[in-house]
Amino acid sequence: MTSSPNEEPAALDPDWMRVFETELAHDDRVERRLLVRELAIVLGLCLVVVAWSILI
Amino acid sequence: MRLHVLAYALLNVLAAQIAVFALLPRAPRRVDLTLFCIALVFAGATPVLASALQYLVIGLHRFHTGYRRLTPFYPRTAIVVPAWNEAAVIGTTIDQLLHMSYPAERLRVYVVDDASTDATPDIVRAKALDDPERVVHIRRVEGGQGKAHTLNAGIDRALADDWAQAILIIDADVLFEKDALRKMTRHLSDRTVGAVTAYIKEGTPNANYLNRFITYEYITAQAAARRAQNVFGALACLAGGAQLHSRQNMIDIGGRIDTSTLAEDTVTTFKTQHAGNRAVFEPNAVVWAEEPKDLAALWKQRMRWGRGNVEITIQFAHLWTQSNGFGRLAGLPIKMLWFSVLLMPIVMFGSAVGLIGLYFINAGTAWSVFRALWIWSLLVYVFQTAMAFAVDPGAAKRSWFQALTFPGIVSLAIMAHSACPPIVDATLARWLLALGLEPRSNLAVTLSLAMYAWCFLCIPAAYVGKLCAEHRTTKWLTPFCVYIAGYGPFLCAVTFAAYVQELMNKQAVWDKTIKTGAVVVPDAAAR
Repeated sequence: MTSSPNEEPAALDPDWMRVFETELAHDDRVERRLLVRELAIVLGLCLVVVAWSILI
Repeated sequence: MRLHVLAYALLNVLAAQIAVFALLPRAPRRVDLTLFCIALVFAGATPVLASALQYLVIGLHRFHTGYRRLTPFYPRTAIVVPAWNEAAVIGTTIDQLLHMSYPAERLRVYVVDDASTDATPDIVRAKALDDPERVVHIRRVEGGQGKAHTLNAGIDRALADDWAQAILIIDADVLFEKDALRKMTRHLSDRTVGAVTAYIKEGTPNANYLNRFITYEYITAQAAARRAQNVFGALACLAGGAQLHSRQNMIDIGGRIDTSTLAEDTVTTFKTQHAGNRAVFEPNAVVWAEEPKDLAALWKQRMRWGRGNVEITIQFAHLWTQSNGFGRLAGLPIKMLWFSVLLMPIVMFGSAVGLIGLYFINAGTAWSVFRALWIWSLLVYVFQTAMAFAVDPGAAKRSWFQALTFPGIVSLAIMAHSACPPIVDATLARWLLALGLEPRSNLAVTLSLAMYAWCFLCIPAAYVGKLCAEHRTTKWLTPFCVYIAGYGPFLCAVTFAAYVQELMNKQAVWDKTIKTGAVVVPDAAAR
């Protein structure tokens, strides 16, 4: 385990290290997916506004 | 004191405006009044603008999570649980905490029993006997002083020896997902972070309409808004039901929770950042909580929060006028978000007055400005709703109808009317004729004026829902009021009532939200 700079180091089961890495990668994917979804929503909304301004 | 100065300055500006207006000749006076009304209307659009900006930056959260700086960190954590007559929930909460996926020897639960008169002490004592190394029962002889006092008894105990490297403050009814704590503690491996909060979700099984509104509200106010605050670099509130502090941060803020306000969690958040430590939100750490099932109980809970926010605004007046020592908490984005919520009832009133004023000066201008305001609101509403489904698809799907009707059915109709006036006008004319009324009758004019003032009228209309909820004979009307006037306006009504109570200096009472223990952590597939 890597300790926080303010805290004492302590031994940790390697399983906990793997858990940390797996979760971090998963959560990073969640945030990346959100970025892609937001871009799609903004683009879709822009298209709707353009279509609306032409039609109305 | 500074608030008085600010109020005095605003009054001077208003007096100057009136003086200039009075001295102007008749024709420019009309133009001046028109501009003033337009300014009032668009001041009402600032909360919508703040909301749009907030949602626009959510996608950037990926670059502000700080994940790259993190290293595995599982500190010895003291969990402080305040409990006042929590027999229905406390056993399940302790079990859930002890069974979290976290190194078992690094977890201790300190239950502070605030002189409970139900079975709470017996339940906690039994748990402490079962696992004396990890469950500590702290009994306060004199209770009922509020959550902050209760927490302080637990924090004192946790800080009394060197064991605790971190302190997690929770509510007695919240249930942590197995991975929630370790997802929070990993942020403390970054020396700049002092406190971390989680995403609290509404978890009542057999949820009614109100629980579903709260579910949706929490997507917007937590999963979305707090991501935006991470991007802006400061947090407005660490959720009281799940706030993790490093030991050092707890010491930096004085080793105690502030007992002078009803919003002790927000004061802790401000003090953390004032001490130079960062407060961050971890959206992937999920905690489930039970929320009120009826509007009267929700009103009490939100009144406590609303009054707390007014108190904090005054207590931290120096934060709003000078930025020294508050870092990004004093930055424009956070100020804009804070005041757009706090001042919403006032700006909405101004907007309605501006529109009615314009209607009598020049009906054509009034219609154009009104349309611009509501089309803008429609755009932001569509964007926000779509984003809520992107942020937490599972919860948003469960509350899809409440998501759509969040602003209220009348506001939705006005948005539709603004976007497509010919279609809605024709429909309205047909309805009026079917009712035997002329579309140009006095009633139609009154309806038009009501529509122009709706951006404010929705607030008292939502308040009617609260009044209905308080009486047995009218209780059945409550959901209709909320759907028609809107859940958002209901929250505005609470804010307005909080001002009034603070102005009247009404005694602040800690009204406990009653919990039944119905909340469960759903299966992964059902989230």
